[in-house]
Amino acid sequence: MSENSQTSAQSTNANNNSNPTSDTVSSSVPFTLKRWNLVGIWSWDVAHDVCAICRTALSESCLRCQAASNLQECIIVWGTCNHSFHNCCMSQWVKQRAQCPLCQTDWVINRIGQ
Amino acid sequence: MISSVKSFSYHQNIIQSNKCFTQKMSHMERSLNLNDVWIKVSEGIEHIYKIQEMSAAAYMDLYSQVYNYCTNTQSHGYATKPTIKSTPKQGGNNRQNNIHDGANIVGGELYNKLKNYLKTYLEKICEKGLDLQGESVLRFYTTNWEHYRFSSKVTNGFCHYLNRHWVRREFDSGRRDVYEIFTMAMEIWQLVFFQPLNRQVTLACLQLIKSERQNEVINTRLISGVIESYVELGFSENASVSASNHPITSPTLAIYKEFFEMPFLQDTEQFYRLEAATFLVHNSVTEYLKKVAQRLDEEVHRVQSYLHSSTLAALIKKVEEVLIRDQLEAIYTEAKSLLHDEKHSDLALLFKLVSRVPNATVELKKIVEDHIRQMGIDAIERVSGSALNDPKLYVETILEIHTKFFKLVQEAFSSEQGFTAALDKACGKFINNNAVTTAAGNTTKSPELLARYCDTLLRKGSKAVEETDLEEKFNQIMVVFNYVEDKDVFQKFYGKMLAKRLVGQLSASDDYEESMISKLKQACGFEYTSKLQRMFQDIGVSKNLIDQYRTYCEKNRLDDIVDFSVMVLSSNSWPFSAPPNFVLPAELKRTFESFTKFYTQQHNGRKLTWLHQHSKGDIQTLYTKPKYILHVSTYQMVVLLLFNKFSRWTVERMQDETQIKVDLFLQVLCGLLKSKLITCSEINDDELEEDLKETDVKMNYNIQLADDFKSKKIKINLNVPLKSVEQKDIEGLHRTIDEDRKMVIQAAIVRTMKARQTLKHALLMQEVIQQLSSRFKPKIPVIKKCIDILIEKEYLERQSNEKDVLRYLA
Repeated sequence: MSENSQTSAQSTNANNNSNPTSDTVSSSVPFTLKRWNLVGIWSWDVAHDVCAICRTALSESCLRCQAASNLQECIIVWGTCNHSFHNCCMSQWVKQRAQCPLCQTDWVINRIGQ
Repeated sequence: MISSVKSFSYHQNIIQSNKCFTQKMSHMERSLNLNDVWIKVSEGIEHIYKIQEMSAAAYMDLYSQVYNYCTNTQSHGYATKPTIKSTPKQGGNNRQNNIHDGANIVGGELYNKLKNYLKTYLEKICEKGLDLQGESVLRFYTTNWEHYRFSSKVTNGFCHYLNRHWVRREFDSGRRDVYEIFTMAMEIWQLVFFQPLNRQVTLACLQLIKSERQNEVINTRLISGVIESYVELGFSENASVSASNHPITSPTLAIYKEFFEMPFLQDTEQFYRLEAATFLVHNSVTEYLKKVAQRLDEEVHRVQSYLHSSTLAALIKKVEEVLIRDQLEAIYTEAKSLLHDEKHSDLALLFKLVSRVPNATVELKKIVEDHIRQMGIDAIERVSGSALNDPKLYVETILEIHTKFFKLVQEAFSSEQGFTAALDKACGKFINNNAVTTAAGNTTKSPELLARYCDTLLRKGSKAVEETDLEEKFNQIMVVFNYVEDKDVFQKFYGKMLAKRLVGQLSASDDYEESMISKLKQACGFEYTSKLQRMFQDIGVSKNLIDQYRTYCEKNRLDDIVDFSVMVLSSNSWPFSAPPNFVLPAELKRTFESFTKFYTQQHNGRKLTWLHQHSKGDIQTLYTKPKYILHVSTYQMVVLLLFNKFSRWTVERMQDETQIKVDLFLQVLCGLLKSKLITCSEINDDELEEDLKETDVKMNYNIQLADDFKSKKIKINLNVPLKSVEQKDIEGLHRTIDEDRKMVIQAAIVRTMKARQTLKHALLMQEVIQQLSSRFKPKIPVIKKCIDILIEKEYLERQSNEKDVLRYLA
């Protein structure tokens, strides 16, 4: 709520500054944009939906985090092979063997989700 | 002889000092002759039994007579060593023998004489009473009893020495027909007086009690006298007495029980059976119950005032049996009509009485449960027409019933556990199964309507409830929630609507939202509300994100849309799915791309999808006077912004330009046409007024702005959710429920089997139903299907030798 009123205050400010431009536009176009509120969802950019290690969806927390009722974000890791897993799961996995569980190539981290 | 005299005088000395004997008696050996003693004693007794005054000296004289008599030969006991304990013989005549038998103590003769005396004495009196009846026999009996009892106490007193020594000795040697003098006197009374008279005495008592039950005033003293006598007459010999101070006999109630209590209880049963039958002919059951309560009080009072207290339990039990247990059918019928007439205080009385009879409340609970359920079903049936789409009406109707009967259980049944359970059961039944759920064709209608009611309360601008009441309303909602079987459905709907409130910024207050969520969490646990809480978190995260984006814009000197804000939600917590894409106009595109760039810089490995159905904005009209502010959805915005390019469009070209899916596009266009912001030359006003349908708009129609647009308000909200969309949402949710449940059931099966490894089919079913009962009631065929699916997926297999045993495959 307070956020909203703040932004509208800013908008009137901005409106005053850009007044001359909008006037020039007014002669040619019928509508001018005042406010836009965009809603989107994000998901991990992954090829497989399910973590091959814990068998839960990558969009959800890994099994351990779920069991611990952890509200913290459980992030995703990608290897250079472009396979992705929960970071929690993979860090356990590499302790035993440093290969991707899916393609058996040596595991090298490409990027970690954020 | 000499030694005996010597030792006797020695003995006398002690007595002299102890008992203040007169000097003259000290050497009177002859007075110890039984007949002489008896003359004195019988004189005394006669005196005593006439209840004549007696001086202390005379009493003491009697005492010493008995004492002297008893101790006369006893002194030899000290001189000669007692060797063999011979069976003691009675009477003073044995005194010569007693010299040689030190164990012998004199007293038997005196005892017998006393006994005979009392016998003759009583026989004479008893004759006078044999023909008496009614109160006169009672008066006769009690008066004589009181005299006799008193006199016997006195006699017992002066025979103290006899009691302590001769009687005791006899008893210790195994004789069982001698008692202490008072007890002996009781025995005589029982034999001589009680035996012939008890029948008429008891009968007279019962008649008197009957008269009292018929509200006559009676002399209760007459009865209590009889009762006291009956009680006192009962005694039994103690089997073995080792300690010398242990009494020989102990009182029992045998006489009282047999000769009074038994006939009394029979009489009581008869009396009340008759009363119940006659009273019910002329009076209502409620009146009857009042009478029963009164009767029970009376009987308690009766026992307290003149019967023996041991009778209370048996009497009350008898009265309860006759007046309550045997009339239960009539009482149950009355309970139904009292429930119907809402007579709480009468019901309270009824309950109080019925609960006296073991197990009788079971049926009563069932009656209450059935009644509440029926009332609930009826109440909902009455409003079912409108309640199907009026969550407030529906929930309030349920609450009204619940409140009403909660009060009933409180007032009439003192909130007794069984009745609270009956209320819960009944509510559970009618809430999950009633006219509205039948009309909707599924039992999931109740949780849906409840969640929708929550939505109306939590939405901005709900004027339904004053703020102070809102917490209380939530508590009431939780009452209904606890009865709802399909809690998973409620979760779905609640989540969906919370999501809409949060995304649309329609929540009345974050505090209320959190309060409601914490109540749900309390009822169903962390997991139930975790998604709801995540949604809350996401909104907070989004607010930070906007701030970060603003600083980013300032830094990079990006000139952007006047007022841009964004919410980026995590995909797994929100019940939204992304619509098909379309072409953003240039006005929006720049901002959109700039933000996307910003976001991908901020976050690694994330993919954004846009929920344009929830995006919205404001645009201002520049061609009108005054300039209006229009609140529009992104779709509407995209359509309207087309007119910044050209002032005329055909429907087909508009759709082609925007790439919005045709059916959705037509819906948006229809809305705008109805708002009269744009016009179509092929559609006249009449058609517009009547319900314009999407199919009425043809692709070749021409669309242009309405130059003469007028509105009373400067700010116009065009972003009204489309009814059809909402309806589809609800239907969609109901459809997904079954699929989601299958997953939940499968998870429960796997969980169970993993723990048990092998399990019988039936036991697995039971376990699964039990596990899921806090969320929903799984249907048995569905569980079976899920088991089959899991067998197919090779999570489980059937044991080869036993078909009904399942095995978990790791």
